[in-house]
Amino acid sequence: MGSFETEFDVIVVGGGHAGIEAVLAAARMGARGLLLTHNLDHIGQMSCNPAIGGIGKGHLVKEIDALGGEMGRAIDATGIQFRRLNTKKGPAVQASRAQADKASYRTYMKQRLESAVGVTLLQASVAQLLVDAGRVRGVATDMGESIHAAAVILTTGTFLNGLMHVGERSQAGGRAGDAPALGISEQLAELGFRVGRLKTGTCPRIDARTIDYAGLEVQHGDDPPQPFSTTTAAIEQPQIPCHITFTNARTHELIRASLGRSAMYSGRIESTGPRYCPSIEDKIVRFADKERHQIFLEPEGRDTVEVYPNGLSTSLPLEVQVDMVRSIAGLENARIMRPGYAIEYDYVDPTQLHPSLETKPVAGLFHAGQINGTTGYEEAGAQGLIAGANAVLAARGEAPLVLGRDQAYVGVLVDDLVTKGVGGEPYRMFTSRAEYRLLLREDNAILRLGDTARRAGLIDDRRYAAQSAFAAAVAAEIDRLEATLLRPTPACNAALRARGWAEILQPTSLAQLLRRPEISYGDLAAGDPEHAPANPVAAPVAREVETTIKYAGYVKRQEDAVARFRRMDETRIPASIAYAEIVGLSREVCEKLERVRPESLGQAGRIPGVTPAAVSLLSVHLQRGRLTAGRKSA
Amino acid sequence: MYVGDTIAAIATAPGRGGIGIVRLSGPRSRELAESVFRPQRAGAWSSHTLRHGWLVEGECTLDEALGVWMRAGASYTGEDVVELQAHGSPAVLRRVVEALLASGARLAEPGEFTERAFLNGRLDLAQAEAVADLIDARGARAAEIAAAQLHGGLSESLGAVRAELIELKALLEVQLDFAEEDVAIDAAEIEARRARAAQTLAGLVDSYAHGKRARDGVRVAIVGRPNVGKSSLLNALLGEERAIVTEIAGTTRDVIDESIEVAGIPMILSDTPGLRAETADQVERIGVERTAAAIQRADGVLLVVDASRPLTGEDEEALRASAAARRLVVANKSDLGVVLAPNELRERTSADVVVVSARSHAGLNELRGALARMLGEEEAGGSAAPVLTRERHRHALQHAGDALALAQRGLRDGAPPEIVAVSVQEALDHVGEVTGAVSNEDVLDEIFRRFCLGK
Repeated sequence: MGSFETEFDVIVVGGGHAGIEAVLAAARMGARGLLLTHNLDHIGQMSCNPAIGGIGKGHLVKEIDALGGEMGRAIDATGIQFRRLNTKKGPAVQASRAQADKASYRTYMKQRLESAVGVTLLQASVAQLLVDAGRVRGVATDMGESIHAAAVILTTGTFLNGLMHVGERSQAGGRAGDAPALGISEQLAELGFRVGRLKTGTCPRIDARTIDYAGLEVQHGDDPPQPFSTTTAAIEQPQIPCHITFTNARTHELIRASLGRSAMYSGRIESTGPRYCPSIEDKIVRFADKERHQIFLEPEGRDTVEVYPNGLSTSLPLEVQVDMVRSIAGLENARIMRPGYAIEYDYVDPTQLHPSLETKPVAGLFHAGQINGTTGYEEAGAQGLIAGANAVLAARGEAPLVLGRDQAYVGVLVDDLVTKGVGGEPYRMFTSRAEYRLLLREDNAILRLGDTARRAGLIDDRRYAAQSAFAAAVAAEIDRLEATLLRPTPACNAALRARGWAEILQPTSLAQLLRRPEISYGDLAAGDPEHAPANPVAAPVAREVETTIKYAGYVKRQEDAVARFRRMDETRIPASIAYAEIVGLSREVCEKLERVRPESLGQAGRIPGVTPAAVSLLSVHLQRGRLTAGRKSA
Repeated sequence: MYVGDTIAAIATAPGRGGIGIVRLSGPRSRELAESVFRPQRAGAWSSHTLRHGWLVEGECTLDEALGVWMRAGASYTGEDVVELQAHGSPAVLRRVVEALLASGARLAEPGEFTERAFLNGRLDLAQAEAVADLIDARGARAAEIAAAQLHGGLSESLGAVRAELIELKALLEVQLDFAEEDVAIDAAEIEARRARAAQTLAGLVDSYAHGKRARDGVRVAIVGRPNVGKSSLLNALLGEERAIVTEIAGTTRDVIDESIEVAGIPMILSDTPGLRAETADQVERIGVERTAAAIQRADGVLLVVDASRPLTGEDEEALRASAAARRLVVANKSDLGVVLAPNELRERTSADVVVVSARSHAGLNELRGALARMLGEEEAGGSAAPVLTRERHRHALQHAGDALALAQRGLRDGAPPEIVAVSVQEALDHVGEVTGAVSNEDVLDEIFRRFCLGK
């Protein structure tokens, strides 16, 4: 063999959004990581729509950023339009989204990997995992080379036995233009993994020069644009607008007439695909009386004419796609540059994972991203980061990085996956999946996760210092508002009245005043120097202060619930537990527990079908085990 | 399973014992105990020290009692425990527990005190084995009870509430998770669904009183002036010596409850202290108040008079006191001769009159028939509407209703959907305690069923 190294701490298989975060996290923690991908030019490719973030997803990106990840900085550097969503609602559900320049995003990520200390890139396909005595030892490439590492992270995306469908045609592939990854699924099945199949799809791409934008609704970005990463000072690049058009009766007729030729409706693909990302065929069949469907025309970048008509995911034959597109206002003369298609691929049941994302059947093997049945760049990146960090921690023999459901959307995501698995459709984040949603805001991600990130070695001293300063500034300003009292003097009440606010009857703190729905943080200071802080606070600090004070009552209610939930989650279940020996557990419950093998009492209780009585039994059984152990050691 | 909330239950064996104990365990034990127990001397509790005082229900004194607090770490369950010891009347103990639940305690599941003791390391291994069996049995029994309870109309009603709340939650969530989509939300529909769910819940909570009657029996108060033979009549109906009977007027100072079945209708007969026009004896005065309360609470009254003597002023008092109640006049002591004309009595009281002798048992069958007619009618007249019979269910649905009231306030004040959703989720969680858990998948299913989403 030549001079290529064959020993690493961590091998990451796959150069998508999960793989990137995985290898970077490992490298940040001081490990030597190798990222293998079948095509180095496709690192960080966005296979579907050209956007990062969204409701629930923006939260994930902010958390990735707080944990030292790259996604937020990448989109800040390469985004072409930035928007805050849900701004008319409360702070917990406000979220960031940006349109990406796909090519720049890829370039950014590739350069980041190339320049990262501890990251090695290699273009190769993995033929086989090297497994010995229930532990992964490395991988064998299709060039016949064996590369060794204590941890291997599979981030295979849609590539495992990928099969693409356009109309009546099917073709093996992991993505349009890329070959599938073959053989690994079969090996995983032999190793005891439950391998299943999922389906998703994407839209055709259209030539911008053939779109008539006149008369279409325009959607501009925010001014000024807000960055995702707390390390980005400002977004400097100019923004590009998106446009909105709609399908119509003729579009629907065309689709209806050709349903039999759609890969999905002709029975060639059995599953119906994700309900939150339905094909246009699906929408027209399931919501037959809806007269029109919204289509977002999203540019794929600054230096390309390709446009992504979001909402037109389809597996109809190409000629029907052409007619369908041309039936839509503004697209009458549109030319399709790439057809839309559906894709089927293998995933592995994520309930076979520990909450560290290490697999239970093979020690040292981690899974992240679509292989776990999820969808979305953000979901993938979050898992990649957790898997990368835990691969390093496991090799060091340290406790894994596991985030609570009350701590992060990343925690909700991982817990849902390893506890409930995915049911028939790819898993996507929604804010409604988080029980403690009011606590998990984009704005407080660094407050929630900064210490954890620091402990794991995911952020450096400089970032940690900035985060600590932010936390201190928020706390100080809250203290000031709580401590500054207004007295119900005639002058004071006259001033309040003048601003259209109700008078006060007793000494009232600025914080109490801020709790009134009609008064904002900005209002408090405006025009009243006496009540402004000595040094004006930064906008993010002000926002966090306002949220903390205004949400306090509701947050308290959620925190009470969290305290209960924590007690259950802190009760560990030993790996050696034999459920069959627990008297009184029904067989059905026993099978469910056996399948997931939860690590805490709380996790056990979240498995669908595990009853409260069963959790009580389990808790008694655990306590009994502790007593027995105590007696033996005495 | 909630760990660490405060639970309450009657801790002594069911039935009439010399003494009855209501036990509370959990962090709010002392605070909640104070809502029903008024110590004689004000001041703070000190652990393991008995305090004398009274059990109260609002302004009304129920019983004299002793209270003791055992601090966390030094109690049976290992948590803060308060025990309230009263005379063993099941009715009083039940009312104390209900008052505690209304203040925020949760009714302890069978075996839950022991389970907590175990989980807090207060039991040894041998005892622990027994707890596992207990919980096992509880699981089976709970399933059995749930199956038996949740049939027919009740199950349907609860199912409707659950579905309504899931739709309501979906309408709120779709605005949050799919704000960018082309979905139209009708604010009026949100409030309409909330109101419908709240109304059904309120109906179910109200039905508990009726359901309780079906389970525990209809309440009948035996009322009359002292020494007309109320306790003798009770004993005659029971067929055995139970209540203390003497010739001295005013022997019965407590309200005494007994369960019997008359013509297939379960009844609770409450023997009351005799009603006197005036009394200087403080204990008796309390007795008189209790009688008034017993009449208030009862579904029917047996007004007992002495058939062998003309009506006295005290009889007139008893007649007045029970005038508002559904009643049956019992002219007792027919064995000593009958001087009261039943027809006159019937006219004066607009009630059925039965002439009996508690001593010879003459007329008792007629009395049973008349009782069954008076109370059975109501039973027959009861609609087929669903009825809650378990306190645990009432408790859960009451809390669900409270959460919906908060939601209503939020909707009215224009609170954003994620805030209203917190209350709706609380309501769903409480309804889930009765119907089985509602997961956020159920809500997502509803969203996707109803709205065309996804760009």
